[in-house]
Amino acid sequence: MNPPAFVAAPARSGEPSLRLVGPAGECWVHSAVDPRREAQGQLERLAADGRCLVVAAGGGLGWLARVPAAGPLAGVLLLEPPESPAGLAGDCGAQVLRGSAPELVAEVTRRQLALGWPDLLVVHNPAYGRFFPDWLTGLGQFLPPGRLPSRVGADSGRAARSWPPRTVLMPDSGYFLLREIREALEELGTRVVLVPLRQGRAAAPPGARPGTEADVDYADRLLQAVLAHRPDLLLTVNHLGLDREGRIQDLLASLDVPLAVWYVDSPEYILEDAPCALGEESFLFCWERAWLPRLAQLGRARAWHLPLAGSPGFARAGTPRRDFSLVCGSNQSALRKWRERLDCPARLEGELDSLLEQAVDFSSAALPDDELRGRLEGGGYPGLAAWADSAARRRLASLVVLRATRDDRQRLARRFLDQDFCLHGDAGWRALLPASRVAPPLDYYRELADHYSTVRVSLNTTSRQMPGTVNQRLFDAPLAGSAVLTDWRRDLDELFEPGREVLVYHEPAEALELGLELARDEPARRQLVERARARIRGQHLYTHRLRSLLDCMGTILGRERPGHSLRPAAEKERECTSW
Amino acid sequence: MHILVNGTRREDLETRHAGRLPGDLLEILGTEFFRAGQLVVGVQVDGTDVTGADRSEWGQRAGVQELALLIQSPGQLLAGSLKVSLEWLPLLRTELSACADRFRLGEDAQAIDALIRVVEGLRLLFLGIGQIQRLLLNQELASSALVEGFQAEIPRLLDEIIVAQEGRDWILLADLLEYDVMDQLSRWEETAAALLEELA
Repeated sequence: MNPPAFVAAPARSGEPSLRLVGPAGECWVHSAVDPRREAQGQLERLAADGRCLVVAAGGGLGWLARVPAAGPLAGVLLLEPPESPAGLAGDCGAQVLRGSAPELVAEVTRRQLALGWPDLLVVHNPAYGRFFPDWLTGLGQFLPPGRLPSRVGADSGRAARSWPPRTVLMPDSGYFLLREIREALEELGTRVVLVPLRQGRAAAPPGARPGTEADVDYADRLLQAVLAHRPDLLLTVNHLGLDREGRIQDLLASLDVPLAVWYVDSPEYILEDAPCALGEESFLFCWERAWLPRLAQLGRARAWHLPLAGSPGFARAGTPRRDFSLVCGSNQSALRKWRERLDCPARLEGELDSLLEQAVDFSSAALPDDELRGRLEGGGYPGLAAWADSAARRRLASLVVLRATRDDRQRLARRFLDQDFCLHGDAGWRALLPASRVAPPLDYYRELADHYSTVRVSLNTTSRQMPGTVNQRLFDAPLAGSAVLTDWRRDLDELFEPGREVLVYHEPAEALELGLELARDEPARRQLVERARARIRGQHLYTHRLRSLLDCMGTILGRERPGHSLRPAAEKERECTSW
Repeated sequence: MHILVNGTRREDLETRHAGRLPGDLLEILGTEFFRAGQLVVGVQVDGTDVTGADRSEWGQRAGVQELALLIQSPGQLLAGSLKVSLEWLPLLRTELSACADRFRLGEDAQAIDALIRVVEGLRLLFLGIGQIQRLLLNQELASSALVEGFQAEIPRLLDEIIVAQEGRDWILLADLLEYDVMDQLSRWEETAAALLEELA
């Protein structure tokens, strides 16, 4: 069946009007008498006098955008079904969005969010209801006709928030640290409300990082949760549940909900080249000091160092059955991905390969940026130096980190191939190590603690994205009963006493020597584990970290927002970096 | 049976028509009043208004205690009818406007509810105008020609409204209500005001 035709027809007033004509009949899209007056009346009837976004489901000639409203409008969106002809509304000054009902609902939500969540004034053109009934019904489920007041405005006038927070909202993607944070907050007496990033059907934007994408209804769920639970804080990890453009952050700011983000992975990987503006309401925490300067560039947000920690759920009392293990990824797929993202010209592939071969020799005590600049400008890689702009150099730095980390792990593993040793990791390792030494990866929650409990010495190499701090294994393995033999990091002795609580190596050869000694001396190994456990339980559980985070925020909020009810002054003045 | 005419007990009529059933009595008295230049415009039987009601339901009722009649001269009736029709107009205009707005905004369900009220209001206005026209003809007033146009126009508009409704052409329906029907109401307002002035 032919789609209905839009047929121009002059109104009695002489203004252009429009009819929809189909096999089953025809009807007017705009008034046959005076479409200008009709549009004016519609805006008046909807009281379009504030900061409103007019949404015309079936915009026709765009008359709603051609007449002035009584007050400033945030904009006019004309929604059209896929079948309507392009250019129908001409140059009316409105944005025309064409698509299916779900696509348009998502786009309207995005635009509403981008505009600071104004009221929606929705008009359903009845002619579209006759000729595109499914389309208009689909829209109407989410965008019924009439004024849809902004729920942001409805929350104004709320009482001052309390601190320490009674309720914390957390976007939930299933990321590993969220469970530990939630449990720690609950132990501190805070109620945690999770807002799923995805619920039911996923509608991830193309190119979103796996596991981080939110579906189209996420912003609405978040808003509903804010209004329903009136949280005192939104806390997230690695920017999960926030958008790079800062719209969610703006929404939280407008609702006076402070935001805390704990980065436990490279902000470079997470944010890539996005500007990612964060306002002064945002409190950023980073597990690695070296990234603080990068975080400080994110708008007016303030950033503090907050290392990783342990969870009591990892405690085990197993019997060691193997001397050594190393649990880690090969980075092979990440290397491929970042290489594709770098999009290096074919003529420079040789230089790139050569640079990455040298990656493991970069200093592990700093992020690779400065050394990379020196090497590029030192003349060794003239093609890459000339080609790589600042974005490409950031990607090159990421590749250097990934490759150096992989090579560190590979070198360490090779030292132990002749021992009672096994590496648990992804299939990428099978191309790098003898297959007989590579075991399947372990699930963090279901398998890892049990595995550690059966290993005398857990080997560790720290990712090159962490030149100063320690990784999760330093806390998990001792709690599960395994001694840790780790590479040196600058912040290590702030957290543990090397030699008494963990063993530290500087070279793989030294690691083998120390490891063998420890594996043979069971009493010494047990003492090492017990001392590390005591340290973790006393100072390095997630409850300690969350208390520090909340104290830090409380100090700032108390100084800048007197409305907050805070802890007693003595406790309030504690240093934010007291861990 | 007590007989009240415009609130006054009429023992003369009671004596003259003693023993009659209320239906028969109304017919006789109606003829008598008409001959005297008055019209019966309201009837109550034992306090219940039965004006316009089917006479078979109450006309043969035995044991009726009171029959109350409201009579008016045709001029009074005409003036009253004109005033009533004018009192209807603001309400009808509000309903018309709201109904047209709702159709234009796509609020179909509320618009159709409003349309039912609008059509009922127009029907009552049409009946009222018909009665006014008959009174004008009875009075042999030349102004009856003025009213004739409405008698033809309102049914035509109601037909157009029904056609637009059947075709679900809601914008056309809104135009009919907002412009064509509203124009007719304005014309009727002017006409009724002129007639009232003439009667005065």
